[in-house]
Amino acid sequence: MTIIHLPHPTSTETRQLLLIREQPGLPQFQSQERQRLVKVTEQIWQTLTCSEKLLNTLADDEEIQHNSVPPKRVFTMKVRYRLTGRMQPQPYLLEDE
Amino acid sequence: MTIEPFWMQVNESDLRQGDYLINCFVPISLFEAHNLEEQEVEVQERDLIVLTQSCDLENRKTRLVSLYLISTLPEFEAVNPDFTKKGKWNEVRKGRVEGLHLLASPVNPEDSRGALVVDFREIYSLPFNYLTQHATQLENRWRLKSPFLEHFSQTFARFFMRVGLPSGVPEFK
Repeated sequence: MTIIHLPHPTSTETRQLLLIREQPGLPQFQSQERQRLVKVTEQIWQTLTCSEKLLNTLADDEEIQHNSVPPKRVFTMKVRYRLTGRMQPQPYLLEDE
Repeated sequence: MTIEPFWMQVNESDLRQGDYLINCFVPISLFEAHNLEEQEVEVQERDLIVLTQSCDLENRKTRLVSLYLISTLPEFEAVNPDFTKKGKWNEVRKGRVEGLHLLASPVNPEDSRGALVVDFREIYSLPFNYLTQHATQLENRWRLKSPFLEHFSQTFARFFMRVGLPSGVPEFK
């Protein structure tokens, strides 16, 4: 049997909705439906606030990386290494009072 | 607002913490241990600022002097294009970018674009005698003044003494 259905959407459209935080104390929100609406809105509000805080924290904590500035000039020179043996500690003068 | 000059001009061979030494030669040795005979060494020319404490330099308590890389903003931006974005240098100015420290321009402290940036991640050690000779050759050069010198030194100390923790106290909700 052939089933007729709508084609799959090829793109997702996002609709922006303005979330208004309801004030439960107002007289127009006394009905049970309105009270439930206030509760749901408040839950969404709290969740979004937490997400926003987390995003801000991530942005703040992100360490800014940077590259080292290259030298002004580079040249090579031939050197001759001379092994002087194991180095001794440097003299440490104690300044006794 | 008048900006207090960060630098004073000196013409002497003595080295102090905060001395701005241009065109220093930094040898980068690859040091092939199996071949201790003649080798080629890369020498880089860099502008550096002295980190070693003045009292240690004055009393010649050190054979090697520690220095950081110091650059102009255009030099730094050439390899870090992200820093050309608006507000980035203000973040550095406020001390919010680890490892970088801004110092006002020696010639025009009012011009923020003429400021210099010190990179605390690039530290070099060069022989005391070489730097003394080089400082003499430079003749007039810049030296960081107090309290900008102490602030610079403290910023490095704060960078160096960082401690990374595996986790912290959870955020207060």
